[in-house]
Amino acid sequence: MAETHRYFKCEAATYTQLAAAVDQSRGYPHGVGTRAVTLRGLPPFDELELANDNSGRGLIAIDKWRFTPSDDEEMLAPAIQAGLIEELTKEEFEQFTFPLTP
Amino acid sequence: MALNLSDLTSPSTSDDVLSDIYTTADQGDGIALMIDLSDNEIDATQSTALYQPVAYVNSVDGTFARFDGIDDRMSFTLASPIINGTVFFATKNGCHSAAINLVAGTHDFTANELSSVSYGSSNDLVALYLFDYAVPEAQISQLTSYVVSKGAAENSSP
Repeated sequence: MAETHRYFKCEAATYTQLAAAVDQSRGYPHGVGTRAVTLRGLPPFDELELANDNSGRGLIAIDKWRFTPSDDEEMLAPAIQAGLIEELTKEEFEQFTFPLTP
Repeated sequence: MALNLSDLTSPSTSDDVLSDIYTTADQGDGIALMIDLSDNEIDATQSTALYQPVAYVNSVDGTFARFDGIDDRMSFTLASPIINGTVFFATKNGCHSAAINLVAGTHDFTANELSSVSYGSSNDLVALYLFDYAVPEAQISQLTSYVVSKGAAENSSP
């Protein structure tokens, strides 16, 4: 079955900037004052599972369909190039979520 | 066209606690709200877009909420009374009913899980019912027929 998600390991401040950019590009929050409110596009960093390599970086899986053509170029590429966000394979992602064996 | 499963409300299930999915979302939209159509007003919400299931409403696939099987989930808060009865999942690949005991508090659900207990394996939810009593088999059969007529599958895939 084709992979449906993309997997990332993110530095905290960079992720927070990325999440803010996503909110701005999608117009979140919307529906405020109604019951169908969407407050944010991505969860806050402190809700992410931390990688088990003591890097302090957070792990997140994102459905591929959620990326627009400009997301990669404008939001992700500079952070990946700077080493602040790493894109992982599913297998690599899962390795970072499991406790390291002694 | 908007996702609107409000016509799923069946007279035979008028005393359920969390009932059918209802929202206003177009095909492909994230679902932020599923309204409880019973009088109990226990709506389910998801305010983070990444965790929202996606609305399917088209003539090919039918009408349902697709969870991604990774982190999509809806949440509802149960104050009182505590639920000690039956849960019924209607999904695109089967219907599942089971006894359930839910304490007061916030509970998450997907198309195949409620409060960390699994029910089937589908990611496509047509309707979710919670009853605060043990539902007799005859009513389960009636409910199954009803949700099948709305796009759910009767039996689980192997």
